[in-house]
Amino acid sequence: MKKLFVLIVAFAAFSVNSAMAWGGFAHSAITEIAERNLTDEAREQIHHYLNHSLPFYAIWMDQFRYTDPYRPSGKWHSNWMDENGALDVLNEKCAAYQTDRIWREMKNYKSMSHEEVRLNLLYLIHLVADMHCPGHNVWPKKSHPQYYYHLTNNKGGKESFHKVWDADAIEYGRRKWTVSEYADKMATLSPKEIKKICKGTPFKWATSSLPHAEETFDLTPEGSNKQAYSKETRLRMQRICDEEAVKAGYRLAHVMNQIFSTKK
Amino acid sequence: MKKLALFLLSVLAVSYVSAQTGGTEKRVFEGAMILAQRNLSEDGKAFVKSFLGQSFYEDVQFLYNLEKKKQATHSADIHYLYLDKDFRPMKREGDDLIAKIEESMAIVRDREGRERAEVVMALRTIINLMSDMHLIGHVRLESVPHSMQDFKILCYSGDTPKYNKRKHPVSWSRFWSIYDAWHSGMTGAMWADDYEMAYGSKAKQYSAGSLHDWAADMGKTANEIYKWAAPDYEMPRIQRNDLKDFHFEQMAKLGYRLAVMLDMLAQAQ
Repeated sequence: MKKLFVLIVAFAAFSVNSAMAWGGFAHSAITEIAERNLTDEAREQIHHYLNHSLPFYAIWMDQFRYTDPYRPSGKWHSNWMDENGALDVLNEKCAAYQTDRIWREMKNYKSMSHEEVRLNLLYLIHLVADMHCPGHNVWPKKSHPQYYYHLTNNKGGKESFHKVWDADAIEYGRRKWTVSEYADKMATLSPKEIKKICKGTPFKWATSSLPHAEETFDLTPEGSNKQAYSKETRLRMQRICDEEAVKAGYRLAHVMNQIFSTKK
Repeated sequence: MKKLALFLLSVLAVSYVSAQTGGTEKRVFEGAMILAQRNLSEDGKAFVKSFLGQSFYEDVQFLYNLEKKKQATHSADIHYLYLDKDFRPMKREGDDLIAKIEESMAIVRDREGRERAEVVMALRTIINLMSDMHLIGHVRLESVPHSMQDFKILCYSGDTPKYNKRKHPVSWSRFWSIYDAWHSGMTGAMWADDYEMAYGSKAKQYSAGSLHDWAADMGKTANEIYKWAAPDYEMPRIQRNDLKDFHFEQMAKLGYRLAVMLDMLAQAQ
């Protein structure tokens, strides 16, 4: 009997997609948007170092975060705030901090080993995406206890606030969408608009996303039933996720293009 | 209680199998089919289109679909590539993957005067069985007794703290679908682009030789894997992650080889 239950648990576990930051769909969509906006020289260099497209490595950091020697990077997936609610720019755990650090170091990528460059690219592919996820902003518990709360479902069970913003919202009503379709429909900014959103540093990008992150608390308050949100609420949640995902896609391409640009 | 557990198990098993044969797993195979189509000659494209229409991706599942509709005359054994100790196809009583591909190739080659439906069925059978033989979990080696039937390995099924603590038993032949599940929303065309990018430089190397050479290559490749893959093998997470590249390389081999085979059949008349 015990064996039977172990088997059930195993089946259930293996049937479920690995829950991951920004969900597999969002990460794949962000890398697809980035892939479409790479310059030829960046694409060529990325191929040289990764031997695969960006989507192939979209969730690499999630898969390797419990694996040595990559374990320390498991703490870099979120943005962390200070006591005043502002982005903690000195916190090494911050996704924005690590993105900024790697981006700066990669300016000298030619003096790095092949493996160092490869690893830095794998980190950037994931971190630029994660720092835009509305559910990936962590405030100190004292000043923002709401980050630590749970939502519920129709059966009164506990639901993760993080998962709703990470994986559910972006896919509301889009179960059959492919990431190609997503990029076709969502990544439609003009060159001027793209230039505008890519301006600045990862710290500026993360800070400009904070109003969206704070809005998550109003839209999905503690104990609210995630299956009972109104159509308007769902649409707003999805809009927030779309805006952040699209920005992440363009910015990821921008970071890669800058790193491998021959016009320094 | 036992009945309830059995019921739950059967429900979960059905949903699990459905998940593997539908959704994202299909996209990885679709990528291989699109790769094959892209690499066909113009004559090959016209030939395939005349019998199978614009896309032959659904044919990856052709025999499975017959089985599902209870219209199949073969056993599930046909989906497995059996090789002897020298990596030659084992002569088997009844259903035999390589023999069936060769029989289907002969039908397509001698298509003049045959019923169109017979040729279509033969082409679909080739596509399905070529796909099967490129799944490492479907390669069975006489020299590795435990490979002659499905077995379970133990591996991490997810990457959250919830799944971090223990490994779960997973069927060896099903294990490989984990990589498809990691990338929801990806399209076959995107995977085809990736296969070309990653393995395009080896296309000629992969597709050189005959069907038997390809089978031997799969056997040798599987033989390396079976040095560690065995019942109850506890797979480290890093190995599970690194095998994704290996699995996708087999899909690229499938795409390039299928293109060569279909081109050859197109020219056969």
